[in-house]
Amino acid sequence: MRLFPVACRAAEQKMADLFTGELHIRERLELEAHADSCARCDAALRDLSTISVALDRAYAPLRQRGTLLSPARVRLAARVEPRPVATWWRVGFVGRLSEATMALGFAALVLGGSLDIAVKPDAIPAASAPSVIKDYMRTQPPYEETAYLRWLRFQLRAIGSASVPAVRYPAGGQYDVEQVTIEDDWLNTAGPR
Amino acid sequence: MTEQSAKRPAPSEERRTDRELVYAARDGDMLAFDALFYRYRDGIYRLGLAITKDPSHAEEIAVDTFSRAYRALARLEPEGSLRPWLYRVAVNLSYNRRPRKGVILSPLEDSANDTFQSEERSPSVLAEQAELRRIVLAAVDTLGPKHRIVVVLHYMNGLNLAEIAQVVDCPIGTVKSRLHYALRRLRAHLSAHPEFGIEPMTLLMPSSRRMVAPAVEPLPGEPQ
Repeated sequence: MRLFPVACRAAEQKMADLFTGELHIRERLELEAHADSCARCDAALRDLSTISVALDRAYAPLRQRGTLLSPARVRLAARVEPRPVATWWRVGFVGRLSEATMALGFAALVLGGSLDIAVKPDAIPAASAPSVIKDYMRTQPPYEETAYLRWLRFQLRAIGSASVPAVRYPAGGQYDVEQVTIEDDWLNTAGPR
Repeated sequence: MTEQSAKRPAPSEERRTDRELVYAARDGDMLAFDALFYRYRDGIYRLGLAITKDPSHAEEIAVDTFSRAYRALARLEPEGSLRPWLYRVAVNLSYNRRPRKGVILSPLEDSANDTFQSEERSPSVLAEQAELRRIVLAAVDTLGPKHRIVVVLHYMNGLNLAEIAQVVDCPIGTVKSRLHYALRRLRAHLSAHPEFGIEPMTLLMPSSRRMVAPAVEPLPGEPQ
């Protein structure tokens, strides 16, 4: 049961193409010819034209609108950092040379500093290590007068008494062993008191 | 505005095709991505504005669209224009946000723009046009999402049927039928407003439901 002739259905389908601008001129002429002879299609065509124009006017203010968004906001949203555009061959020879010089200087600074760091603590002589100079100074009479007299008395006593062992006491002698252990002022306390 | 124009990409960037810009941006050329951004920024903003009716939502949609485009640069292979891909993302993002129905986009601002652009129009004419605009946009809001997006893409963004088909990912014939259905629905809605001069639909072309034969035969003697 068909309520409309085929021409009206075909005209209705062509109306959509008419408002999208994709209707061939020959088909447009056929549509207009059919609308001249059909009151329904003529009214439909007229109304759809009115609606199409109304839609175009309704969206006209929106088409004038714009935004001032910047790409930086997009990068922030995408969590990306702007990478330099210029590649290394665009920088120039002078720029590359300066960068290479700075890199070499930095490498030398790091390597040079690492040499100092590489010295082992064992290589540093300990304060209590045996020293030839220290032993020699211990055998010498002290310069201070009181210390010298004590040292001299100790030496004479050691020579005159056979019971005194011939061993050399450490710095400070047998009378003051505790003070001899003080390493810092060994020059003043090295002799016997 | 001068600062904005100063930030725009160079004319050499604007002459490059979308495919070239995508490949350059993929290699790390941020100016190429900026050129793509400035090329489609306003269109996506208007699309989001037409669907959500909220300028802040429209800006968020534009930012999200381009951030997704940046993250998808490695797999983007635009044969021609990047616009269908961007618009499809923008449409999906727009419909994920709840639209504010019945809200007209700042009619005062639009009327003010009309006043500045055409001084010969009287305030009454401008008010009448704003009212007609409000009625039309409210009628568009009554359409379903599939039909409304076709109307918006065609009448506001100026896309043809092939481009709309790429955006909504359906055949051109489907887009054509949706557009025609939307126009007929709008005709039915706007016929209630005598300002448009549209005669009621019942006297003219019946809807598709009426074109189908009735399921039950009328009883003898019953008026048809």
